[in-house]
Amino acid sequence: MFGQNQRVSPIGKFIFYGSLSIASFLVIYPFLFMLFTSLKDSPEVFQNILAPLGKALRFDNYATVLTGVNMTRYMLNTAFVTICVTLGQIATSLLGGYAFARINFPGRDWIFRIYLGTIMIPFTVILIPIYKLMLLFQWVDKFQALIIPWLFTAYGTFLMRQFFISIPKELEEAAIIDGANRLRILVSIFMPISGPAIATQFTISFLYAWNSFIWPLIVMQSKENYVVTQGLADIQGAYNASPPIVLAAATLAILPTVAVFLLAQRYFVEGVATTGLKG
Amino acid sequence: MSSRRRLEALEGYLFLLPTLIGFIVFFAIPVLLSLYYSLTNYDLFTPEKWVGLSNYSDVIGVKIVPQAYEQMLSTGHSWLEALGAVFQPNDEVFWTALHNTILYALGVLLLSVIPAFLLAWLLNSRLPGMTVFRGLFYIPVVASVVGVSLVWMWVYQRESGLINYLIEVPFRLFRLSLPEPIGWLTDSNYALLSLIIMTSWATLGYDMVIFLAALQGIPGHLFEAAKVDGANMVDVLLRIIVPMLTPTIFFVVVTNTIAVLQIFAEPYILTQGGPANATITLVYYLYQKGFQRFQMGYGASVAWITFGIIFIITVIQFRLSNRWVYEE
Repeated sequence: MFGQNQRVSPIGKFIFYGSLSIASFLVIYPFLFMLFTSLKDSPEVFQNILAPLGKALRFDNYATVLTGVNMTRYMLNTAFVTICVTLGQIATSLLGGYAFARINFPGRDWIFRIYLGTIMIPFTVILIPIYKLMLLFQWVDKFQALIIPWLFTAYGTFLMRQFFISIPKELEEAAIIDGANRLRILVSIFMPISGPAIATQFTISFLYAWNSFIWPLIVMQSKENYVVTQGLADIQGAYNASPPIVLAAATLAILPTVAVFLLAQRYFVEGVATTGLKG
Repeated sequence: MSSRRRLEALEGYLFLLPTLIGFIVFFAIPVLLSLYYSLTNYDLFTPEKWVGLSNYSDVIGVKIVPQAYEQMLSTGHSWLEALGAVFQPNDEVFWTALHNTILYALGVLLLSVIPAFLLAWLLNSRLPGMTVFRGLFYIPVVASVVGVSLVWMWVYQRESGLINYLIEVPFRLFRLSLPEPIGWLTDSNYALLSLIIMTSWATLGYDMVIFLAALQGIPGHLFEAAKVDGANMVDVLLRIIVPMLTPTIFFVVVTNTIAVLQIFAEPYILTQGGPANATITLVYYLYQKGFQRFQMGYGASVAWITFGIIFIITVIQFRLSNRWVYEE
């Protein structure tokens, strides 16, 4: 709205920052409400839902959630699955993206075209058959089901290929003439300069893995194998008269992604902005 | 030379192998299986039988019953209601789900895209603090939908929720008798609207970031020329920004629509599709059919019909995106 050398009057500034502050308060308020409520006790919530604080800060709600209802277990399960999926997706995308960008082999371009064409097909289309596959492999209610099918990503491979294509060929030519193998080139020449692309891919994979719900809901059945989103739904069922417990659990579930976002905001936003612009 | 080429090809396949195996086993084969199941009466427990296209006609088919028209008129209904009764869908719940999903998408477009555009316009300023605001608006996008739904559940609660409490505040202040509380999630007039508001809040930041990137791509000389010509802020908004951003607006509209077509967690947590299917979405319906009633063949055909709708929308987007690419 205001350009580089534009002078903004104090009143203009006041209105500008005032409206932005009101808008951001409205957007953030549900999170504040969550945090406030998670630190009250139930009667205090029902007395005055608007009051930020009760008589004391009840951190014991968090203790109840972490020890009493298995939230620790759900968080650890989710963390394990998320780490495996994120690292796996980055590895397969780096390899595949490099192959598509730099290595000549028969069929490369039409395989790539098939990859691109399938990005559009939503996951829901394969929900039923992939569950059938899990039955066949006997992976139902096992962590393999949450990890192995998700170790590859057509979208991530595409992202890496686009990034590698923009790197000048001269960079690796000397290494190829010296007879270095492709894996060495990828690891010691391409990866060191791919920080931003890897970070972008990391944010997408991490968010997706940590927040996924419908697939674990279908495939994980025993409580000790639940991921965090399933655990939340379960806690809501068991404690639906006690908002502080439910919202303490929600806070714990939301915290990791928000924390990673605040640390790596740039890459989240860049990932979205580039996919948006390339359409 | 040819042996070097063969080595290179081998390397290429080896590099591609991890993602290719995943792609074939966990994507390509399931897609084909899904297509096959949609043509059978697969139910997970008994061997499936081929039923041809009958799932599809059961899902989207409509029976035309001309005699219903006279019948409805004779029982005192209006001609419009009578005309509606002539078309009797085979699967009423599917049409309800489609109807809800389309309303859902339109609602989110209205409540997310327009505020996101305005916010992006504000944030596209060379003033301190813009990244901080951008970050704040983006937080709902990264938060787990399930976690966020639990928060909104207490915002929407009928008896003691935040919104009804806020509505009551002025009544309490003036010692008036309190109004009947609104069942935001339990009244079928409000339930879908409540989900739309929550989803709009959660997508606002995403749309805003895309708009912001597009705004920053508008060449600066356009603004300078406008300034020389003495254009005011509204002129700049309507004559430069909006026209330059039409392709982006279109892109955001399409991605939002596709995202809403796949909504599941929100109705699952907040309403279970109710009350009386008022918030059932296409994917929630697919889940019910496939994983609660084990009509997996039927569920697969619902999935492909959903995909068909997404496909049509995306084709339209690709047709119009040519203009966008040139402008960059």
